[in-house]
Amino acid sequence: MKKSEFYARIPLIKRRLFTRGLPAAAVFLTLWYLGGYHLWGYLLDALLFPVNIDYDPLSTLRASLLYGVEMGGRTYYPSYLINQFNSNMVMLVTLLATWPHESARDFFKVSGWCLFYLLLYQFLSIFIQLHHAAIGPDLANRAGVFWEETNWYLFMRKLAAFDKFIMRFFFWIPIYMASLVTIYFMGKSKREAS
Amino acid sequence: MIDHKEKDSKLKSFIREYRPEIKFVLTFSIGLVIGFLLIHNETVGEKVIEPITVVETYIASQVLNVIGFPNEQSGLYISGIEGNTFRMQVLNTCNGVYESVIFLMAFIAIQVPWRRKIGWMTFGFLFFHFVNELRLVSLFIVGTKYSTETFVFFHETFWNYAVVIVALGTFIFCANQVSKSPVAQVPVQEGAGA
Repeated sequence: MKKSEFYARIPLIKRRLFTRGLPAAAVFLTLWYLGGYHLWGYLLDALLFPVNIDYDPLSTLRASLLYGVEMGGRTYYPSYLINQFNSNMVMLVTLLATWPHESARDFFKVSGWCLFYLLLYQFLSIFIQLHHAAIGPDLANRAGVFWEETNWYLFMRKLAAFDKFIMRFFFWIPIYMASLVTIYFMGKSKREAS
Repeated sequence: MIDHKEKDSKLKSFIREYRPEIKFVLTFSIGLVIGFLLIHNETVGEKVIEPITVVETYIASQVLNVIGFPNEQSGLYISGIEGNTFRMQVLNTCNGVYESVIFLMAFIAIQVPWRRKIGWMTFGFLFFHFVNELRLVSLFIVGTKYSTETFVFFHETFWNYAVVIVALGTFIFCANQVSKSPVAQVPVQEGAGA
């Protein structure tokens, strides 16, 4: 997409946020909560497959995702409230419904790349949270290991907080941008090749 | 060899075409990290962020008293009185500070003269905090009148989503207003990332 075409679409995007984006988010959230783990379990497993998930299917609004992770001879349980976990997902759904795609194929292409980058983000997030816990004082103290704060730990602590307070809610923006940029490069190379 | 050259030229043309947008993203990202490190600093947290949160709690408490929900405010807590047992704590993620930093950094990153954007930037910042006050007030009302599940839904899902949409919507609206101003028109066409 050319830059001029991109900016020309802004008024349409604004209109579609109300006519399509917000209703799509409402539908997604309704299905998310009503469906519970029976409907979304496969997706959650796919997004969080490096760890075992313990999920309470009977609870809906307060349900947490718990990762049961063995570290230092003990099991560690970082948890997410389901609605914090889906923040990036619901925003991506809103954006996918709002963005005027040229065709259904284009829509699925963007959706696919969004899912791919979302997976990468979830891996990154899990790594940050678990690694931060693994090298942190809590686990070391519980395991009775002498522990000293290192620069790497301080860096990881800040990164984990950045993930918790900002990336968890706003990383859908870079995910969507990365998807569009990827398609921009891939699309152009095909045309030029032909 | 040809592929490599093609890719190189594509990258170059992408950078040339989207130079202002790339500059916006880089400035925004660096500013966001600096802003986050600043507000996540323990001293800043104690001396700046906590007092801001207390002021926000105080304002919400006063509004609630005026609209017929008598309560007492103590630090970060709002407790119902006269038979109302509901008690609410305003935490770091509920004070709107992180979203404000995102909003301000995005505005700082727009390549428009300061004299043009400072007014709309201030307006957006205040409007966002007005919405955040509405969030606090509404959560106390929901917590007082409805079930815990309803409160959790509004706290963890509705307002999480709404705050992201409002922050983004406010930024787009204010940035659009700045771009409409006649003096700012030339630089904005070159580069507003909004």
